[in-house]
Amino acid sequence: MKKKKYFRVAAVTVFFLWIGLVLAAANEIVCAKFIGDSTTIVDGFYAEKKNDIDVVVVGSSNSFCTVNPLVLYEEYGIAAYDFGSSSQPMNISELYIKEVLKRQKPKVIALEINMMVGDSIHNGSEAGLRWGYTNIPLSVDKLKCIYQSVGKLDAEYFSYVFPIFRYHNRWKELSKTDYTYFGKDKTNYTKGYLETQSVAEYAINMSDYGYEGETWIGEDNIVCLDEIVQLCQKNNVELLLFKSPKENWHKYETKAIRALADERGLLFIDYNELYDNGELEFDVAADFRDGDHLNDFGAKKVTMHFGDYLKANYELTDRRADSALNSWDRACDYKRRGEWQDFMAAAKAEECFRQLLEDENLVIIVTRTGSEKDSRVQQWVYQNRKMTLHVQWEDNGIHHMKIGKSELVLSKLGDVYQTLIDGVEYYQPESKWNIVVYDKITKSVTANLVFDE
Amino acid sequence: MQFTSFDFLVFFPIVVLLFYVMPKRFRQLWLLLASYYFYMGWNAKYALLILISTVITYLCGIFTVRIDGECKRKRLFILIASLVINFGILVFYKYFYFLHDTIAAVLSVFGIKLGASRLDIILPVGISFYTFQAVGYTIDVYRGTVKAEKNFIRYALFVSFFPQLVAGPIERSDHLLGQIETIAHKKMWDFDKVTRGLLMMLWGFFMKMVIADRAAVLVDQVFAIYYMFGGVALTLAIVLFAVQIYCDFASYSVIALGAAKVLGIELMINFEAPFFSRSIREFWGRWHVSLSSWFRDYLYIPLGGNRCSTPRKYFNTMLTFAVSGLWHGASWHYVAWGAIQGIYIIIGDILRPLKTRFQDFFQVRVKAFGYQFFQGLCTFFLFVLSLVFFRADTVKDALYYLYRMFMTFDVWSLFDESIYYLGLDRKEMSVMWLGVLILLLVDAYYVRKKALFDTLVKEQPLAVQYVIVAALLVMIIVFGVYGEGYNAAQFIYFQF
Repeated sequence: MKKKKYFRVAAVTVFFLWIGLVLAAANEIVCAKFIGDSTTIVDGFYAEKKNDIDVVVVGSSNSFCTVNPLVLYEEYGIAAYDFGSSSQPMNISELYIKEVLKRQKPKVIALEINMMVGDSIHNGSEAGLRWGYTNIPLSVDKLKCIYQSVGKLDAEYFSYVFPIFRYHNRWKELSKTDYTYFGKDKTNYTKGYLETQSVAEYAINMSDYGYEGETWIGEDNIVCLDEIVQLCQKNNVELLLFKSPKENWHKYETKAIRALADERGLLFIDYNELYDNGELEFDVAADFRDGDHLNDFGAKKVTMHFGDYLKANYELTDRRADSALNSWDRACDYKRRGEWQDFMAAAKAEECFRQLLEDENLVIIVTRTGSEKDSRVQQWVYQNRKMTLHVQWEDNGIHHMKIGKSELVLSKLGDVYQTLIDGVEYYQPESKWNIVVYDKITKSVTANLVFDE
Repeated sequence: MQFTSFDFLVFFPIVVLLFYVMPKRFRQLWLLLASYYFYMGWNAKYALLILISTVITYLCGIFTVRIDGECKRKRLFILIASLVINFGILVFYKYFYFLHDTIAAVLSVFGIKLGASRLDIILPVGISFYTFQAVGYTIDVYRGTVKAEKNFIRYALFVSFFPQLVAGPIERSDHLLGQIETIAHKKMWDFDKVTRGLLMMLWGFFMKMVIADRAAVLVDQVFAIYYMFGGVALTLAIVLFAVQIYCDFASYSVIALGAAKVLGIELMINFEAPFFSRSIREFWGRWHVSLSSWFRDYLYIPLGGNRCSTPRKYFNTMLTFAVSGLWHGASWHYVAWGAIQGIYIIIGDILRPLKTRFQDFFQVRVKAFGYQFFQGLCTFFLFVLSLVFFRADTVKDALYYLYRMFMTFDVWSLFDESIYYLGLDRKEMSVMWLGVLILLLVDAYYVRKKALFDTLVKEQPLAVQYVIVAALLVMIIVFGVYGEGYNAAQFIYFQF
């Protein structure tokens, strides 16, 4: 009897674990993935090493389109992360700060205050809440925060706690990413910053800044700010408020925020004000992606000023001096690898090849197409700066090997030769030499070059 | 509240938890309070109607027993009074407009114009179900087949027991009252029973949310503008309506059965794989059994049933089915739908000798799968045809629907993908048919073993049971038709 009872308890426990696992997997697959936005920002944040970030930037899209952590690192050695989500109401900003303090001991938290004005908590869009909540792990803080947003314990509340109930109708449009995302490396190589070089179709109007008017800041937003101040004080973290440059931001709004900041002894930078009084220059025709957001060019200008300001006002260690490579070094390396590189400008195959061989993280697949004298196609594969395969094709056949996380297949079938990486064909037979470059760091093909000699 | 609502998801576990932890003597009262709360989730005022019906039938039961043997006429008077009051309430709330419109139409023939009704009557949810259950009790007491229940709380719970209050099954007093009585002193917790109940509920949710509500999307779209569609679309719509109505009705009964089982109470099986029937008569023995048997016991048999002349028997059949049709809805097209069932059965009766001779002459192997499958197909086809009258807004609409269905049937439109533009695209349709396939497997199991989904699952090894539950749960949550549709465009404005 007792044995039966134990078995039953074990069976029920296993059952609930199993159901939990299955539903968690279904949730991961079905939930919308906001790549480049909150999904990758939030997941990237949790993939960061604990207690490794010195400056965290929190807020709506204005935050992660303005401060570029890689620029901060390259220029000032500041280890920063943009931990925000689009249209983020103030209570979610507070939740994000709580999450930050659970995992990191930053010296400074910079809060972008775009959402302070008005009543972001009760008048926010559903999308803003979804972006903000979907990827944040379940916690008492999150449950309380959702309650504040929704205002009641009902089906809607439930759908924020278990987002599968909101996103289940996505089942028809699921893509490969939906199935593979949760198994992927979550490292965010832009450190939360949203990279874009797109330029607004019109010149941004920043000249209305001085217009007279009145603004209203919701009571609950002020309460959130006070709670954030207390949290930072309790955790010995400096809180900095800033406003990114945008259209339709006015002096009277700055004045209202500054009054709040002054009352609480906080520092506040308004980049609209700095532009207005000529301390910071923008090219309104080139530095914005749209009226509310900067692009990479504009973000770099603001970030440079932001870096100067941080250095001047806080004691921040230059992390470039770390004895070992840190995650910002790796992120910068990652970024560099995705950009234009010198070997791409080589005129001859040999010159290109020599440059490539210097980087041990590159896999080089060289193909020499047959000529009139010798019609045989030859292929070489170099990994870790060493040749790992040389094929002189005569008969039909294949060679395959693992390159990083990908699968390389070289094949010959009659007159058709193929260089396949993860099933994608890269071979270009038009020229004598074809060099395909696979980067183990970015886990992608970074160049597919052809040379006549 | 509805079974498929968030409120029920919260309500039910609380009810169950407290039911099992509280002292036994409070359980009946607890379930009664829970049942009224459940009902008042729709319309609090209308709970009063249940109370009125409960009080009247309760007192009728008490008085009937008190004057037992004294005066037969007095007992009959009490019964009639109970029937008149209960059916009076039902007729007023459910059939007022129907009667008003019918009388107005008749009077207009004589040139008399009847003004529009100024009343604004909202149909109380479940009134047909609990009225029939309470009236059934009164008749049983009158007949002496059950004892009158003296405990009011117990009786009130019998009438309002929340799992079956709004959509059946219509329980019989001899089956349910006794069980309700036992919950006050018997140990109710039974792990096996509770898990079986939960399995039944899961199956019910699957039928409702994955199949019925999905089929409804296409059915509603096509029926709203049926005159624009050709035969193939209309056939598909009515076949899917058969699936929808079955899964809708049956799912509520299955959830009710499961919810009651979790509380240790057994309700009657209401749908016994009706689409596996091989004749319309058999179909009605499997479809909405609690209602069919109610009409059989309290209307058909009192009218004389089969033990009378053939014309009278046919009349009884027609009347019973016409009333059954009217029970489903206050409109002539429901009556027509019911009458068609009667006609089917009468024609079946008349043709039976001919059919037997045909089978003998051609030496038809009546037990062969092929023949039985053919019979099942014919039965399904006949039922589907009749359903046009059930679903259409008027008899006229139903007739035109059938006309279009047969006269504009272009078989090629089955292959030109046009069926995927009727409300369910290819993926939705695939899920739909997958659901129907699972439904057929479960029903086939019932036909073979006379056992429901819970037994089907429980017969499997534990690991398989877990896989089935997980698969069903994921299908309900992911493929279930509920909540707001996901519109990616709504979320496109991200990164801003």
